[in-house]
Amino acid sequence: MVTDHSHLHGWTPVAFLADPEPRIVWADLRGQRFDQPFFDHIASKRHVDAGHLATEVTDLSALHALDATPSLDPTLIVAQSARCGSTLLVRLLATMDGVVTVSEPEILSKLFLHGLRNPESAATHDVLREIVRGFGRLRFGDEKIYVLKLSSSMTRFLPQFRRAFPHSPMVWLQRSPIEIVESEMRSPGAWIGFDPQGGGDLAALVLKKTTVTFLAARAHVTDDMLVLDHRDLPDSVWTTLAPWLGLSLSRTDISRMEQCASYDSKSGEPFVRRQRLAMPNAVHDIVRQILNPIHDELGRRRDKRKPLQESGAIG
Amino acid sequence: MTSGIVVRKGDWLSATVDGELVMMNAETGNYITISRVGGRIWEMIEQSMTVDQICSRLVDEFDVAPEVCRADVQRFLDEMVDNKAITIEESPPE
Repeated sequence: MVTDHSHLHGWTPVAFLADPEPRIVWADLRGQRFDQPFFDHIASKRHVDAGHLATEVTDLSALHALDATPSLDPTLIVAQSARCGSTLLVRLLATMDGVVTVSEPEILSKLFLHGLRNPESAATHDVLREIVRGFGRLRFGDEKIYVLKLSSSMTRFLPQFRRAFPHSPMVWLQRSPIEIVESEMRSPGAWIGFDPQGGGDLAALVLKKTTVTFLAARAHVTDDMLVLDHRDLPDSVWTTLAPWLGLSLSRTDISRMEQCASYDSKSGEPFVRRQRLAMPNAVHDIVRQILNPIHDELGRRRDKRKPLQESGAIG
Repeated sequence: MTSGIVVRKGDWLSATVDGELVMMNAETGNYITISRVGGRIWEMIEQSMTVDQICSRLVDEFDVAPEVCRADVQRFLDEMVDNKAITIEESPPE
């Protein structure tokens, strides 16, 4: 018996359930622009604004059935090292008309965690593609550009994203490793998995997670990807990224980006000067021996980039 | 399988952080962190080695009773098999 999923047209896949069998949670976000710094805040905002959030759980066949709905493939996939200004980069792009931005959707992390248990599964590839396109539905009709920002932990899975979207350009955004480590130690992100009550070593945990990210970047940031650095933001968005993508920006577009950049990208408040943490020598040693060489090697590609059109990556 | 031959499997990138070996499989994205002793075993099996040979070397290098070492090594190898980092093949008959 074929299930009719047509009533879910315009709904968005928001969560992946692995047990007892793989299922998708859909949320009715129709009429809701994707304009929050992080995708998972969108459903929360809708829930607060509307007083409820309509959801439905289906098996994976609904993804495939609804994939024929007009949708965008990502115009740009942003991969990043964490604490590197990726939220700012995406907010600047979002100031342009017709831009949909989806940042670090947790559903993808859950998909890959499940997928690791079934690494040979071709279904993971199809499900990945259909979930990502699910975010890119033409829900308002004015969407032209779709920017997907991955969490730093997704760097390990860039090959899977590349296979799912071979024509979607990718950019790697990074930052000086000691600055990443200092930022994470000052305010650890949830992805670090640090339990303040657990008595663990935060520095060791941050170093290990950051090492995994940079090892993954060394393996998977390929020559056809644009490499940008935190220290070049925000200007590199309009001087480098937009031209590389073939986007023609007006003076008004750039002014809007400059205005947006004058605020802290997460809170919307003006930039606040923060006190830097002093790092132990042992942390500096590991950063110098392991992380800096990878960061520097990737950084050398910043000067070797070709415009996408010249590289043949887009038509 | 005490006489099995331990063979590395897959394309793993690694770095030593805070005395532990952080390893990431470049094909699957899976990552694991292994202890100093585990890191030493990983280093040893760069060339295939039997379980007996691994235990014998560890007993020489570390202050550990042979039977404790064997049990720990077996547990470690089982986890590495689960993470698809190694296979343990039967030794060819002599």
